[in-house]
Amino acid sequence: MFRKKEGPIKFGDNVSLEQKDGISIIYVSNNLSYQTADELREARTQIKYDKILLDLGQVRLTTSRGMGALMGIVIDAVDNNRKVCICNISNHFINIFEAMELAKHVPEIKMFDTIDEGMEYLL
Amino acid sequence: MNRQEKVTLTIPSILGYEEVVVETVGAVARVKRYPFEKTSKLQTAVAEACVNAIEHGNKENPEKDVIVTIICAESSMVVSIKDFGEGHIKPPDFQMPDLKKQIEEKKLGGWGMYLMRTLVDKLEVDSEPGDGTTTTMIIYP
Repeated sequence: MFRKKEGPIKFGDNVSLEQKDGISIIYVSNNLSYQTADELREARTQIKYDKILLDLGQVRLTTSRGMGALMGIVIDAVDNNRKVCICNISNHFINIFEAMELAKHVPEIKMFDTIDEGMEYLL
Repeated sequence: MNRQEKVTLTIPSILGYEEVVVETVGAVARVKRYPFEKTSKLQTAVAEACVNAIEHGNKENPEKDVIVTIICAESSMVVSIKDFGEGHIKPPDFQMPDLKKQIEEKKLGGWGMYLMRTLVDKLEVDSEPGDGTTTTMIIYP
């Protein structure tokens, strides 16, 4: 019997969630700021697996509020013994991440240049 | 001679328009040959300041503008962002928030001022009750 393949679930314009091969992949695009922060919080409630990959490859701009929402997902995952990583990070993201010394406060966070590297870490 | 080159922009208080400012600031910094990293950090700080002006200053009232002035001199680039809100009563807090506590309590936020201060060479916030807020960011070559 033909079954339609499930695609990513969309949360507003900038966030989508794909659950495949035991990994929940959150794709973020455009402006990781006010609106995207709300969409991210919504996506967070739908995460199915214990392995989470955040793909920021399409993010052009990041503000502290967006970063706060993103860190919320990471900290929640760490607290629940989930494995999490962030891939394809932009310069705006790095600027905030370094300025806030987030690596010091959340040492469990893993970042990779590509999705493939992130997948390899999670599998 | 200390010639100044000025670019001004007016945006409505609608979230999303901060991207216009970020792109413009980036273009001006490239024209003036500022290093990539310095430009990128300034752009991140400018995005933060614009969102503050739109949200907290003008309370997203599209009738109220945000005025951005970029002034390039030989030894500096100055970006001022003015809103027409109520202005602050308290002086801005540039201190690093207690991240450990925030993480423990899962209440992340309030990073804006500290972040802006960290990303640029100099940050000034002028605000008087009833007279809006002007956030000025300066970078040096």
